[in-house]
Amino acid sequence: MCYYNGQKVTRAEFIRLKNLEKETRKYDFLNVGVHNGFMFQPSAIAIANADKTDFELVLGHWGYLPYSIKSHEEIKKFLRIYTTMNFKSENMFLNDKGDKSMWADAVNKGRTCLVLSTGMVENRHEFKVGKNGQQLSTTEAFPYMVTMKDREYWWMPGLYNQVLDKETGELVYTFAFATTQANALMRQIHNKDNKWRMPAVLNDELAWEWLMTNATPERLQQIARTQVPSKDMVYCTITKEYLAHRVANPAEYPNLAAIDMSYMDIEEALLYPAA
Amino acid sequence: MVIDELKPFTIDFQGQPLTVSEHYIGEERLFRVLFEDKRKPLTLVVAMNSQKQKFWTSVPQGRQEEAAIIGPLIAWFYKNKKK
Repeated sequence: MCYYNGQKVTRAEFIRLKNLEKETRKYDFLNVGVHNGFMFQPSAIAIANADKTDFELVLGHWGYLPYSIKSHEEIKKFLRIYTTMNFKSENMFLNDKGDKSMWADAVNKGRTCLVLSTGMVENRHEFKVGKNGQQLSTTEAFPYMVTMKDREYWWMPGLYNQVLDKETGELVYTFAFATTQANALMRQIHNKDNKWRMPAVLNDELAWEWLMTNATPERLQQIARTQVPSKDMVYCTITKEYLAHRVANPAEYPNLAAIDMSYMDIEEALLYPAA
Repeated sequence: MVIDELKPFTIDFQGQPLTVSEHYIGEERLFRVLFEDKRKPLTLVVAMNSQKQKFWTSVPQGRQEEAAIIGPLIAWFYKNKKK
């Protein structure tokens, strides 16, 4: 799944969603190179107003909580067990066991949000090699920053829940964003345990539909499955200290095999292209 | 800007306007009170004591005095609104 997300807007003067725009300089929280989803820290999300005529960027806690939780300690425990930073688009209504999923309430009640991204960090896992050149059973992780070609920021479809922090009395938004089946590039980068997932990345039209219209739950699921083509993505390896410094600095790993970029020469067959 | 809440209203508290917003979090109805001075916002709920009597309390607990005064003002606002 996807647990590291950048939100650092430096060039764009406005954050735009179709014809609506917000002045970037008014938000002092669009400056984090890499958010760590396991820290339950505030991140930027867009939420629509009640009559869906406008949106606002607010801070929400990355890690969806289905109900108010008594203490911060209990929140951390919950997130360690359930890792609710992402939801599988396939599980928006039913979970893997066929029971009603935790997300169904948010979907049915239209609690959609958009999660801003300026770069997604994923680790590529490669088997280590022993002294005699043999493949070992353990793997080494190589972090990649994946961005979108010609876009400084983009939106991912999210679901939110507002809960009461009973330690502080504050009302806080908690959220998760959708993942879908990986494209050819992300299958190679996000390769651990062969789960092959990636965040759903929306174009402006789909982002608008997700947030600003009263789309049916079925349509929301269709949008949440959207796969972006590999050739629309740009990637580079980064230093392994990206979490400590919360910055994605490019780095070279000379022994790491190159990514197979043959997808650039063919029309990539996607199960869920933007539609 | 909190987007999905009901429209906030104002009540008078010792000559000062307080901004109050009503929220439903799961099954719970609660009120957020914003002060004009530097006091921290106050979250109020109606709870029930062991004698099954309702009373106003803060979340987290500890601002009982304010809850006991401001809570009834909120209730009064709603009563007047219905008239």
